[in-house]
Amino acid sequence: MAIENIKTVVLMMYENRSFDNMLGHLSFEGLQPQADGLTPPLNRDAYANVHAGGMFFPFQRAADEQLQFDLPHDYNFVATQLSPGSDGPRMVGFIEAYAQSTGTEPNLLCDPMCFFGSKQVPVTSFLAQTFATCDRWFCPLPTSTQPNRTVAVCGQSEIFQTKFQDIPNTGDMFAWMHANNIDYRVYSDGLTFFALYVGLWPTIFTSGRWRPYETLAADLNGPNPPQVVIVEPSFQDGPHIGPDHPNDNHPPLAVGWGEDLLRRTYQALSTSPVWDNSLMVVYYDEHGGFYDHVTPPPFDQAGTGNAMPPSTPAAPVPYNTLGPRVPALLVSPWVAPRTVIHDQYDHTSVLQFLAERFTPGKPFSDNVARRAAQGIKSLSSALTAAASHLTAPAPPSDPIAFSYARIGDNIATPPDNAMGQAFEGAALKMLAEHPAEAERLYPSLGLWKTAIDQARAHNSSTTVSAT
Amino acid sequence: MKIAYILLLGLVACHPRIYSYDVSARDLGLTDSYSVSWSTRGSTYLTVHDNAMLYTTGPDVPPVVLLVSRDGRTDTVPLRGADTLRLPEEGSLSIRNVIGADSTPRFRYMKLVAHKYNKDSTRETQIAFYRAEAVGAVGFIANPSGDSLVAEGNYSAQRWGALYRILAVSDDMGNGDTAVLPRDVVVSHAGISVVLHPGDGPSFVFRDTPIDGWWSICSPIMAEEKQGRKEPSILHIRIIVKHL
Repeated sequence: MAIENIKTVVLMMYENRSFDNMLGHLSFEGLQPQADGLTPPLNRDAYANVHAGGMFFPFQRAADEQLQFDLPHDYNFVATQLSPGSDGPRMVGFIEAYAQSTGTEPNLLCDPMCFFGSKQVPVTSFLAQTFATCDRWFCPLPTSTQPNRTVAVCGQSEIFQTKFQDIPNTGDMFAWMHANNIDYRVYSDGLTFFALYVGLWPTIFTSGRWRPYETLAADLNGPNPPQVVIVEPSFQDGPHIGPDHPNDNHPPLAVGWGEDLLRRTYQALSTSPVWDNSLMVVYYDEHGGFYDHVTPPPFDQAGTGNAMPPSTPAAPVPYNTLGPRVPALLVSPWVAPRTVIHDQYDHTSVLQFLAERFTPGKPFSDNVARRAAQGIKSLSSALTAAASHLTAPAPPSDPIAFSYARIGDNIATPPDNAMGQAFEGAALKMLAEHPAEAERLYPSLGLWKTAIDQARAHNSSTTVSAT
Repeated sequence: MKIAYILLLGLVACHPRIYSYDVSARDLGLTDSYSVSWSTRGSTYLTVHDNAMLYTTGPDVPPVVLLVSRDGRTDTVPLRGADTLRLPEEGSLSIRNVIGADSTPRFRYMKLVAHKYNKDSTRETQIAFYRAEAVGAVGFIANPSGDSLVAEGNYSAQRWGALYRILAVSDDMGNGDTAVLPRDVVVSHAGISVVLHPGDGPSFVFRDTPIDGWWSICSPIMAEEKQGRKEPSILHIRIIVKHL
């Protein structure tokens, strides 16, 4: 069985990019014509978006630069982006949602419609052209970060939007791995996303499984490499201090730092003893407001344990499809080289696969099984019986453009976005309730707290004086 | 530790900011003037970069030569490569291109940068420059209504502004995209209606009407679509506009 050849699974989830944004170039540049990306001409009816009578089309970015705004991607904006008609989503409202969200008149070449060329995402493009690209991997829910990441870790989501909240972690994969004696570790390049789940704090603080990203390579080369490895980027909306660079690819961030993290992670894995029996999954939590031309298929979300957003006749929110397509790569000796997988996946494909591999005959959960019954495949469908690339190709050594990343710019005022508020709230709560554990795991967190307190006190006194 | 956070505090208090950045128009003739106003904190400059109007990375269109008016005087400012136009932290200026009216249509990217303590804050605006006659599109999301598809709405007055008027319109459905069937469309705008047929030449019935305002584009649902073929998501027409 091919699945038994996989002994180490590496999961690396980035933030907020659509398939067309990161991988649309594969077909556009003729690098992987079989991938369902973008094809010339770009100003065709099938790609058109409209706003206030104007028409907007995909375009290739001239450079990897920081965007002016984050793009809208919570459930109400996704509904606008998908613009469902009588026969399903039409994918024509990405500019309309952007205009509503930013209050600006959109440029003709407007950020939601942009895509990268292969030279701007050299590591992503290299992995796509060397291993397997999944061109039917949808985010599980037509909404934002927190619900989609919750489905990725729990198989269902009891929340439907992103905000400062204690996210329920019912049925999470960590409890499942503990119960099934699966050795796992989480390597974070900043504050872990799982800090947003208060129910996971005891595990985070006491299991010894949450570690700094810098220890990944040594652990993969160590005597007991974990069976499941979760690699977390440094989240743009997380607390930052010192030389830390966000590298989660979340807009408005440029993707150069994320490419660098991907290259380092691939190098760490592919030069370690575990490479021959590994599967690395590179995927994105959701589309982040970027255009994708493929219509998400219909899907019964309520029937698979997901909370549903409010919907009224005056403000209907159809929540009856998968979310937009996201970039997804399978990097392993056990996938066909230079291949495109057209099977329908979502984030629960990973959970299906883990259950097939480590608890054969026993599904991860009822809701994951229900998603499978609606057509979501397991990643095992991409594996081959024979290995290729047992000697891993070296990643491109092209220099990566590191665009300016805003670090600490905004700490003098509280975050003005939902994810920033959620991260900050979780970090402050951690420090207040578990100061010793939090500072042991994240030594710079206390310094960050001091800095924001002082900056805000200074900001407040300046404002009062000015008044 | 204390020194570290005092340093951080200093950095936070001193980081660059762009409080406002406004450009007066988004669609212009190649020689039209426009104004830029800004308010920042930090050493401030403007970069100006033109690209040919394509949907891929268009070739650069060098050099950019601007007539820049501020404080009662006008200077010729050539900008090449990484050249920048130094600005005070607050102000406004008027800009006009030094190029011919028949030059290459272009997108202009005007990036305002505020720089302080090795940090930048940036805002960028895109302006589209067209020749005296230019081609554009009007399109809206189509919804079924009986046996027809209806696409209607207001065209934004922020695009094209008052500088251009309609010269002609034509049917553009299915042109170059096999996913969409060519079809007749009934177009209503500015109190005038016309039926456009695919492949026909342009119609001048809307000549000299403004581009902004209410538009309605209707088309019958075609037999193939009644039998299950996907209907177009958008109905649109091509417009030829003329600079005043």
